[in-house]
Amino acid sequence: MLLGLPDFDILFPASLGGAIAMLEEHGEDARLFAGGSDLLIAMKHKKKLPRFLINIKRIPGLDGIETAPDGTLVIGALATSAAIATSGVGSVSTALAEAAEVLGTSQIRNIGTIGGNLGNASPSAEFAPPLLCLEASLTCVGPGGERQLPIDQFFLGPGKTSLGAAEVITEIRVPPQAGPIADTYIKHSLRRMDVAMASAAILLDTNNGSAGRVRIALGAVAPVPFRALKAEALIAGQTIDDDLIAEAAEAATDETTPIDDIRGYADYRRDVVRDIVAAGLRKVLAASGENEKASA
Amino acid sequence: MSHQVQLTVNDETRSLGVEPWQTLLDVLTEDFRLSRTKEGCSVGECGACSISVDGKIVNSCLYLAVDADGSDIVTMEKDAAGDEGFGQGMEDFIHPEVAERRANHREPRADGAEEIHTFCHLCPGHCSMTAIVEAGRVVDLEPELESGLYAEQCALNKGRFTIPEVMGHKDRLLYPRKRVGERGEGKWERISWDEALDTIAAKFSHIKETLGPESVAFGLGEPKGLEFAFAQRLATAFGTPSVVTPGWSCGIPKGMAAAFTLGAGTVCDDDNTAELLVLWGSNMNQTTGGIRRETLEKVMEAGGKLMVVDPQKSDIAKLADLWIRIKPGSDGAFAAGVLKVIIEEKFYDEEIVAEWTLGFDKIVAELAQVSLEEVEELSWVPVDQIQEFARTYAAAAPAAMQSGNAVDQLVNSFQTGRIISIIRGICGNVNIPGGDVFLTAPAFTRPGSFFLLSKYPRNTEKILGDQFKFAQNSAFIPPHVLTKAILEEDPVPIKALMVILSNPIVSWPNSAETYKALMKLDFIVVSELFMTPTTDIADIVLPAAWGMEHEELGYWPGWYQEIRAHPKLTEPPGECWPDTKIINELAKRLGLGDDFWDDDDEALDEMLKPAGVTYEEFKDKRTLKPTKKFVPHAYKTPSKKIEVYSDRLEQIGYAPLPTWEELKKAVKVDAEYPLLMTNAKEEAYMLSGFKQVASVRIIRPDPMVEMHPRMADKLGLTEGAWVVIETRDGAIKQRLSLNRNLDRRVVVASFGWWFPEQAGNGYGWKQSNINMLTPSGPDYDPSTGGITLRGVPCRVRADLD
Repeated sequence: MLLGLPDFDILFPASLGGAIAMLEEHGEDARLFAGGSDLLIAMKHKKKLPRFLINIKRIPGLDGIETAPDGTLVIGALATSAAIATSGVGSVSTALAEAAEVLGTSQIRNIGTIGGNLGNASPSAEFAPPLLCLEASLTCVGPGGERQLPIDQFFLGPGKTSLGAAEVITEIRVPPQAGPIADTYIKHSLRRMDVAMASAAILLDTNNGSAGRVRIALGAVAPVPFRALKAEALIAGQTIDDDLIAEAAEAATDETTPIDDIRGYADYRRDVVRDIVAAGLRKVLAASGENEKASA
Repeated sequence: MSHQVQLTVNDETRSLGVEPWQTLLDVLTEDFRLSRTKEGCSVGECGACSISVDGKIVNSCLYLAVDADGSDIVTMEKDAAGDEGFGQGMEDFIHPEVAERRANHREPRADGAEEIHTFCHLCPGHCSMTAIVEAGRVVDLEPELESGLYAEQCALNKGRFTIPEVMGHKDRLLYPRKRVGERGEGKWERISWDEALDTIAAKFSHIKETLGPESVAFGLGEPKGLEFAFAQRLATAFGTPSVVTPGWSCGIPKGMAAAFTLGAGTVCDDDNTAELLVLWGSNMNQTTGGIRRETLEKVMEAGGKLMVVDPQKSDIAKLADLWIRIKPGSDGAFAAGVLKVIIEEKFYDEEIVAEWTLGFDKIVAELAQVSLEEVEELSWVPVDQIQEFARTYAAAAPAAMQSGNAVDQLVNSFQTGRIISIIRGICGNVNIPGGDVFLTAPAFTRPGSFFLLSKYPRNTEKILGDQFKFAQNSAFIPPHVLTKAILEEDPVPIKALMVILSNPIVSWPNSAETYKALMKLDFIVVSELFMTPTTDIADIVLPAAWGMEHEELGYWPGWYQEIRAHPKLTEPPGECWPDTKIINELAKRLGLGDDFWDDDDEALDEMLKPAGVTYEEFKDKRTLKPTKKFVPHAYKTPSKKIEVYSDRLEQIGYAPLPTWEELKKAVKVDAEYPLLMTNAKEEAYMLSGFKQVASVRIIRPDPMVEMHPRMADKLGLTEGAWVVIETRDGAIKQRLSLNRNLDRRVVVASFGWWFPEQAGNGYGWKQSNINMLTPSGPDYDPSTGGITLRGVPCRVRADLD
């Protein structure tokens, strides 16, 4: 049978304040509508049945991608994956551009937004691991005003976030990094277009060459995307060689709590984490070597 | 609340009112009547609905029409205008990343992958595909558009999604196993092929010696390669006619109806453009069915007409000039009404009736007693629509009419098929270009002569269900006949069952009865790709190799009269064997080696012997196709005419003329079970298969039952909630989805559900499987044993557990 959309009304707030007022008025009955690439599927599957969709796409100023004077990269919540992939964010973070490029299909990348990707709080959200490594924050605006929410405090569980009931994510802020970095995002999935069975973002602060600080964030292997802090601590400040890569990969694997599901078994996911963390570390190390050569 | 929007579609600007829940796809199909832009998966996975909105490619199924106000929309219709069928341009529009990769990978491919031409083995469409093989693994299947062989725009990419995933699936069966605990307890032990085959051979031989060969039964699914023919050959040589196949509810009723009326089965002529297409119980955009998608596009773009008979507003029904929202199961009454109008309004071809029919006056008299008001009451089709259908069909020349499985799953399918054949015949649409045509098969061994060996005539004395003569003639028995024979040990006791790539617990009607019967057997062996509710109660489970994992010839669906090479592209996983090898090796152990081969692959050459080629040579040629001769009035009936009245049927003991008494048989609902349940093929799955395949399970994660919103309100049911569907035979749960286009008295449930994730619970075969709700009779089609499966009285209530 074809899957039609359930009944709902659509509202078009002219401003952010209007959207927040609508969220307050309709409470649980309303959902924000941006790209719709997750929400409309959940509605067709009859898993979410909002009475009202608050379409925030016509509110100006929510889809920009720009660098602030202090070096902060500011990505509007309504920026699509395609816009991010082609925006030149790669000059700030390779991982961010890679995540934008491997999310879904071309069709989905043209409608799905970064705000929606994070707000749905899927454990496999593509943008989460790179942003965790970059120590980004989310600008959230609600009835009480605006606040900055560090991304590591944002995810509470599958589909659950610390966003308030009438709060709207308006932008993602990536702070300037202390020095040059090399980072990467690796997704392992059944097909290229699929959501991750396991994913990892690895970031190396290349100030100190190969002994720099490393950040490791993992997706799809726990209820929320998270930083593998023990693995990070294990290699912090040390010269990273093959043995240390193997140790870090093992430590990161130990920090995961994957589940069995239709895409893969937990054991398989652990094997994947071990492989992609090691591969990611080798990749950023190689990249940092090239950076050094380039700057020399 | 409706919103006014302005849309520019392929340079045509229109202002129209849309509802919030309408997607751009809905509007493009219903308002702009685009047929190349299709609904496939509905959830953004398949790309069939791709469009460009203000220069960006998006899924129109996930784009709200109200959100597109003021947009400039370009669809694949624009670039493909004037193209015959599906081409590279459409494929690249749908899959831009693949197009990009292909551009980077021209010969030799930079990634070292091989590109091998083959055919998709998943659905009956069998499109020509290019398999991308990397390091011995099939990683993708792209439509093959160079050879000119048939490749459709697969609306759901079903084969492309499932085949690579199944080949490397984490849950593939890899080794033969035997049961070591109680039946269904899930305790297994790995065994060798020798032990498995020796055990099976010993059991079968013992039963044959003590009770007779008829006490060993076979259960076969839809033919994939030659395994169906091999299993039938084994049954023949072994001496058992107890072979259950899907024929009784798929193909045989309408095939027999055409054979007795027109002399042979017909297929729609896809090579010439009809003025009118009729799709009757067939949704060929999502599931393959008789008319190719490109034929529909051609007809639509040439300004032709489309009529659809379907209780659901399918993707095709949305495009139709006339959509007949028929009462499920009342096709016989509706067909009789249409024929009555054609006859009484003299819409038929008078010369054909005068020169080329036998017994026309008898059907005139039979239908004189029918009133269109009664037809309306029985079929829910208003009289004026019956008249319009008849008038439109008769006025079109040529018209192609396809009837699908829905019409084959009724208690009067055979006679309904006879009426449809008569309508085709007397309106002059048989064997003309663009009409319904006879095919002349190319030279290859007929599957029937491969498996019905003249030296071993099938035992007709001890056959089960001997009253269903057409079943017997077609070398099968209906499933309910077997289950009742097992339970009642009449007319022969049945002790063992061998099931090849089929899942009877879920796919045969009345699952509770099927389960009870199978549990009563002494011995069950199943060959499968995955564990299923049926393997769960087996004694031995054999791991089957799949298409592309062995050399294979495909000839199914038989009515297309073609044969295809499906070459081996990869090694099967673990110890998987092709079913043909399993059967060949078993035959040797049963002392039937003389009727089989040293190596099962030798049968490939045997099939091709009449064509004068070996299988190896044929792999380059790839396929042999039938020819169409368009000879007018080439009816191969005994009288060489359209046999409205059939003496042959009378001799066999069946009604020689379709009677109103039989055609009007309709399911009656009552106060206790006031609704009518029907179902359709699931777009995302192959019948009961592939619930464990992630790439399609994400498209249809749950069994859904559809109902009109007003009826749900009346019954106090909430959309999205699990509801209980009950019939006289059982109760199941499915999730409720509301559908504004259904008749309020109809519910459409999902077919074929079980839950691979529920090991230890029989894989959830009772939970949502609609065959828990279907009857197994009595009340059968007298000729084929058919039961009305589309239209079962039911009630629906909230799930209070």
